[in-house]
Amino acid sequence: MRLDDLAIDNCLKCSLCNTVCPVLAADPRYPGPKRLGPELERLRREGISTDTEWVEYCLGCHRCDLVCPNQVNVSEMIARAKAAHRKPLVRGLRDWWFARPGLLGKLTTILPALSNFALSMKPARSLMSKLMQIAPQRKFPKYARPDLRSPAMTGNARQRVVFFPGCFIRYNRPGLGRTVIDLLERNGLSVEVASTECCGVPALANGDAAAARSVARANVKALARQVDSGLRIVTACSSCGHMLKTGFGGILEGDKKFACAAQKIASNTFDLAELLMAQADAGKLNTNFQHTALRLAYHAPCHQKSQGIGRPWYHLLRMIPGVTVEDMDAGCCGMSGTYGFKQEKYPVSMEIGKELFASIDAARPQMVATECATCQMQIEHGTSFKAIHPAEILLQAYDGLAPTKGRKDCSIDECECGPCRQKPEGADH
Amino acid sequence: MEATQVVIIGGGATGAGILWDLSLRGISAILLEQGDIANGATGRCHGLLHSGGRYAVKDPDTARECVAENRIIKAVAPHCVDEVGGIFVKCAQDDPAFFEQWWRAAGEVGIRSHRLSREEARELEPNLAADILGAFTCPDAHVDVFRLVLANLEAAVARGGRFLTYSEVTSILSADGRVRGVRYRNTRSGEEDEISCEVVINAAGGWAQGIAAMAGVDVPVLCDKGTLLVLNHRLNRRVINRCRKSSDADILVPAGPVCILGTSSIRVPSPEGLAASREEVDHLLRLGDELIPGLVNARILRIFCGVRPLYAPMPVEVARGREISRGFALLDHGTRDGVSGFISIVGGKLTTYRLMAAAACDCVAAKLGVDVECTTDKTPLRPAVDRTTHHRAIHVLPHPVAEMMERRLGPETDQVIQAIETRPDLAEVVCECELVTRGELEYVLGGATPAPACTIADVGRRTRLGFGPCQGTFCGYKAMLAGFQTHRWTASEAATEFSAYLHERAKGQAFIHQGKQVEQLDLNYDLYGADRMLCADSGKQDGI
Ligand SMILES: Cc1cc2nc3c(=O)[nH]c(=O)nc-3n(C[C@H](O)[C@H](O)[C@H](O)COP(=O)(O)OP(=O)(O)OC[C@H]3O[C@@H](n4cnc5c(N)ncnc54)[C@H](O)[C@@H]3O)c2cc1C
Ligand code: SF4
Ligand code: SF4
Repeated sequence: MRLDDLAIDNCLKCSLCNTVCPVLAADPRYPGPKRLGPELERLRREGISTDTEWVEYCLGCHRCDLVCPNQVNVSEMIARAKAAHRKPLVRGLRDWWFARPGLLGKLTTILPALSNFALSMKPARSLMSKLMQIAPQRKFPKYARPDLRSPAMTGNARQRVVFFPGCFIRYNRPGLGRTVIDLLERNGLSVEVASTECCGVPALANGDAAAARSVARANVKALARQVDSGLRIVTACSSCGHMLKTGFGGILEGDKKFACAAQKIASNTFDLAELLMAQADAGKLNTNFQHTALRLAYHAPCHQKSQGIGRPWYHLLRMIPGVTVEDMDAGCCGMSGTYGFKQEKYPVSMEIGKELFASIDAARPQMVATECATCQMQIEHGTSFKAIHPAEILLQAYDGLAPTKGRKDCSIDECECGPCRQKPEGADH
Repeated sequence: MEATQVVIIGGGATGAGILWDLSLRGISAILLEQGDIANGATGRCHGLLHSGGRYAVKDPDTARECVAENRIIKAVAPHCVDEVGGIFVKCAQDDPAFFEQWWRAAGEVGIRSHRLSREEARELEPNLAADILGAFTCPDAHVDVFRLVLANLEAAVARGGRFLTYSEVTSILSADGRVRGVRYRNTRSGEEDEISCEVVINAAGGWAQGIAAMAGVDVPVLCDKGTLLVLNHRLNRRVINRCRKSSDADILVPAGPVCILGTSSIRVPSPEGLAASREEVDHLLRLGDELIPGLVNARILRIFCGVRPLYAPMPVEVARGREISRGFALLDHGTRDGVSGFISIVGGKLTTYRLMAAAACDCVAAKLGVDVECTTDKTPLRPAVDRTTHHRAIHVLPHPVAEMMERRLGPETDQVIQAIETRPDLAEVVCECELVTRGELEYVLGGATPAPACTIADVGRRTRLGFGPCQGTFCGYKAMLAGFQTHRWTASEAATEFSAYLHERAKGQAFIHQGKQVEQLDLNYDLYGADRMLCADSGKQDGI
């Protein structure tokens, strides 16, 4: 019998999971993790038709799993129910597309300029919102030429790590990828960029188990050899990190060969900041940071918290002289990848973000640091502050540069975040 | 003093079946039960609607009865039956000669079956051990015992039958070698009363010997204790039987959301004060683990014991539990012992309850000169839920909640939905493990149902409230409040009911020695400050 099959037995009905669920707090009609997870799972196994649209509303934030004192894999059960849930046609199509960000990435790279233009055009966007039930308030990130490559090997024998970029860095922000590589190299590590696919989080979140399984398999194949030869894997996106570290969210369970390799990958995956903190602990962190006067607010993404590694970015940023960091500790931002883009979920998404928005507004930072790309989008959407990946701040601190207001590769056309709005016409956007 | 034609003693499946059968024949009857419905073996059994496979080799007559009754019950009470199907698994440890013997015997008694290879069997039941040799299929099913008893009683009430729960027969009144009536005591209020009648039917299962003694006759009934473990969730889809000579822990029945492993067979002096020892539980778990590796780690919700009322006319010294026939016996004490108007119906199975009832009622009808044939094999016990009620239900309730309510209440769903429509607060799910709504809770506590609940545990037998992992920790409390708010109980009565309920629930968990249920019980103690030792002790004294 599969061991996780028995995890359902651990639930003591204490309702702790319900107390931390952001969706339940935002909308009391949501049945909550306890009901959708262990409670309905028992009945699902009996064969009762427990299908409910509410499973779609789970963010997959894993807060419930994290807080459960009895190791119940609550959100994994909900993810399975989500995969079994049948959606109406339009939403099904939309979510099929949302589940495959890499696919769109590949397509748009053929004609990036044209597709970005189309995605950003107001009429196209309003058409999309009508046809595809996508929130008209949201803007899609721009696609870039996917030119992230492994850097040339340098002469001295350094320790090598494998960088898992994920779709967002590969297709939207290769510049961030280069920042990560640079940061690692400045800390004595040589980097090889993995030729992997999407991590599978969008597929799981959109209830597309088949897509999740297929990318998980491809990733296992791509990474197994490197892990076997003793290399560590580094992620800079918290969702990718979460996925790799959970052995692809249990989706390969029952697929013995792959599940075993996935476990090995899981125990050899490190978040970028986790790795840098480890370097710091070993006295190997390059701490030649220049004085940088910067007031930051830090938001820890849910998938960073679910990794159980503390808040390494918070500590790293505080090592930069002149930088002050305030940890927002204000729950989930509500974006959850493609979730916030969905028209019917937009109100919940914004309701969930309220607490974070208010904390940021109260902190009045110069900018917000958070490592998840969609958390950044949500923060910029819900507040007037710019949000960037902390790796960018850290790297620039080596050269004494503070990130400028409108950032160089702000991916959002007609970006409405405060800094971008304030930027003079024609400035480097 | 009330008068009726027939008094039935015992509210198990047999007694309830008799009340229904008599009502269909137009014979007036009152059933008396000392506890709540299904208080005896009926409420403490596996709930396996036997296909006959279990008895095919050893007892072909009982097997044939099961084959026929299996089909009939599925047809007349579909809402009580979950047609899960079953398999007989050939384990490497067991005697291969028995497998072929089983296959032949099953064919002879008329059990529909086919052979499965190891791979086929494991595809149907992925949790089965990897080293099994194969399996045979059979039409086993699970029957919800409480629902079955209620269905019989309620159908009978609709035709003029009556039943009284918490009414213990204390003596049988007779004069001139003839039974005239019974005296009974309300076990909740202590009040006593009498009913006069022409015929008394003793359907008291394991207690039948004691009842017979009240009329001065001897009915040799052997009490054969069986212990069952209720596991938190279904580990199997079908009934899994081990294909060997009947032995311990060779049946795992999927029963609603849970599955039940059993059983043992130990002779005990009386049907009261049953207890499961730690060795017995460990022994059952070890054997279950041979069929389903990993089962030892599954969470046990409850452990309970029941007694099979086995009719043993031979000297009891030679009769060993599993060797006595599972067939039943109808004893007409008029011809047998010279006490006319008194009959006993003993032995048998849950599966054959209808047949036993038919035999008893044929005998009664002959005595009363009523010339009506038995029709319980053709008359549906309960009409199906109509489509409009179903649509109204899913309009006010989430789908699984509506589905479970319809299964439990059948046509009575209509009344609960009507109440919810006018008072939306009744849609609240009060028992989250089994999805019982406040509407249902108030309905079974109220007077509108033919079988109102007197205690919180009674609510459970009618709705499954408190049957899930928390074992009443949270929903029991809500049930207490509901009883108070609906003026069913005063504040102090409600508190007493709740305390009694906690004890009752704790008893079934007292034999669990390890795992999550122990923590659950601890949570219960922490919440309500119940005296730990008190609960544990009462568990040891009188079983579930
Ligand atoms: C562990 C176990 C597992 C079993 N599994 C199965 C199975 O899977 N399938 C199957 O077909 N059979 C099974 N059986 C057998 C089956 O449970 C019984 O044969 C059947 O339930 C007997 O029903 P009954 O109504 O005759 O007796 P009971 O259900 O015992 O009913 C007798 C009733 O009489 C009442 N009573 C006693 N004294 C008095 C009194 N003085 N006044 C008023 N009322 C009184 C009692 O409270 C009791 O409710 C199992 C038995 C056991 C013990
Ligand atoms: S994963 Fe997050 S949103 Fe989903 S049920 Fe758990 S806490 Fe709620
Ligand atoms: S899943 Fe965990 S946190 Fe939630 S009710 Fe069960 S035991 Fe408590």
